[in-house]
Amino acid sequence: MSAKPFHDIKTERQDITRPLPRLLILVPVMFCISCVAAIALNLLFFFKIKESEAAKVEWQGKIEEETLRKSETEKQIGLIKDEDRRAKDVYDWAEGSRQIQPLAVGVARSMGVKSSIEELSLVRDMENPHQIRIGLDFVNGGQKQLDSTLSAINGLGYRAYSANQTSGQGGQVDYQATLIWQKVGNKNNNLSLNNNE
Amino acid sequence: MKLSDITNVLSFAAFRPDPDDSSSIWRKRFPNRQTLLLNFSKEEVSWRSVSKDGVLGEENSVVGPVKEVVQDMSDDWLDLTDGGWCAVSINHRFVISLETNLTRKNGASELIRTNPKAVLGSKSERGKRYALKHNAESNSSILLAVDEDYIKEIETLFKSSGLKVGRICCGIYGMLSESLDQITEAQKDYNENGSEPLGDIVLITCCEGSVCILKSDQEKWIELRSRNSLYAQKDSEPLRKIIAPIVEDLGSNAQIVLSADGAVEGINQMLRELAPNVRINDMSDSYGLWSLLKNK
Repeated sequence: MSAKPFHDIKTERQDITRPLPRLLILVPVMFCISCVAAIALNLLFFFKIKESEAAKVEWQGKIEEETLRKSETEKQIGLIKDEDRRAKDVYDWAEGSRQIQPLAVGVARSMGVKSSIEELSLVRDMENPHQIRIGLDFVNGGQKQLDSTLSAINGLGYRAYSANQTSGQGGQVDYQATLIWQKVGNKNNNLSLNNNE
Repeated sequence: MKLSDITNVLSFAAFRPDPDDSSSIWRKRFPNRQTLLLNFSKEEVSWRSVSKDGVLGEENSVVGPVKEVVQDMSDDWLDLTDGGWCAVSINHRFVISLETNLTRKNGASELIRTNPKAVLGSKSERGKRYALKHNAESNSSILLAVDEDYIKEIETLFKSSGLKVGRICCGIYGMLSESLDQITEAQKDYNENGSEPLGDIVLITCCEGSVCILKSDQEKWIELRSRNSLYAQKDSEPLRKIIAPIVEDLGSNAQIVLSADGAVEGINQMLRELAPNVRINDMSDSYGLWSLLKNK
């Protein structure tokens, strides 16, 4: 069968337009491709946005959770620090509140034969328990006796600060000072030895 | 630019022929659309629908004048179409004649539709529509002439019924034209293969009671007889009377080429009786009117 169109004798319409060239079919094809691509990209973006929003909510939850954990940890750190500080205080107190008795004994033993103690006071500062206020009144012996007593105090690991010394009539010496414990390890041994004696 | 122009481009409609564009074949004008093919004679209207896939539906027919049948059946026909488009084949009030020495300048076949006088000269008559088929091997041509009033009457009738006519043609002329094309192709093959020439050919075309007989000597058309509404399905005697004088004296090297619609029962038998020694080549099934209307 030939491809030639059949004859036609109807009244010819004047406004018949010829088909557009086949090459121009690219225009609607590209338009359709663009539409499909736009729809596909929009769908992709829509799902990605939904996904990112879900992830954002999830991460915000995680942030809140971590913030809560951080504050709890900080609270615990605070408690630990407080505990540590209190432990240090206890330690300092333990360090500072050494027994006064060896000091009193040391002072008493340092007295010579002719010297005698009239008054001895050992007062521990409440705020600084490692500091001991010493007040010593003795008669006879003078400066030599005082040096001997201070030497004995030094031997026990204390050093004297803010010393105040007055000499009265009849060989009376009034000595006041603040004793601070020197952390020297072997001094305790001496005390132990003294204790043993 | 109108909005419809843009939508036509985007829907690819602008790249397809217009439904009214007679320079395009039918199936290209209506891809994926249902259409209707109608065939009229003086006393009968037959039709077949074409589905979206291009498959022909069952043939139906109604006896009666065209005007009454169209008015009665238009609603049913509209249901068989997408948009009411139909092709109309008329087999009534036409004349097919053999002419010689008609102009063959380029575009004459198209020009004859708008300005028949430029092609036919003094042979042109007012109030007629023409179609032309040239013989490539001689100066003869086959000329179809149809009353313009009849065509306009059909157009008005269909328009008033809501149907749109995409094509009006003369079915028997179309079958004749297609058969001639096939014969020309066959002759070319014979010539190329060095076989003996086809010899005398009598081409008999029958459609809805009309008949057209073309006798050719080798490649020259020498005689043409055409009659409107000559015979009926049950009465083929008039057909015998017109065919007999032409085929009776045919030699043994001649052949009869037959292209007939289903309405003519026993025509093959009739031809064998009239010309027992002549080869009959029946191409009715392959190039019937409906397949021509659908595919061309």
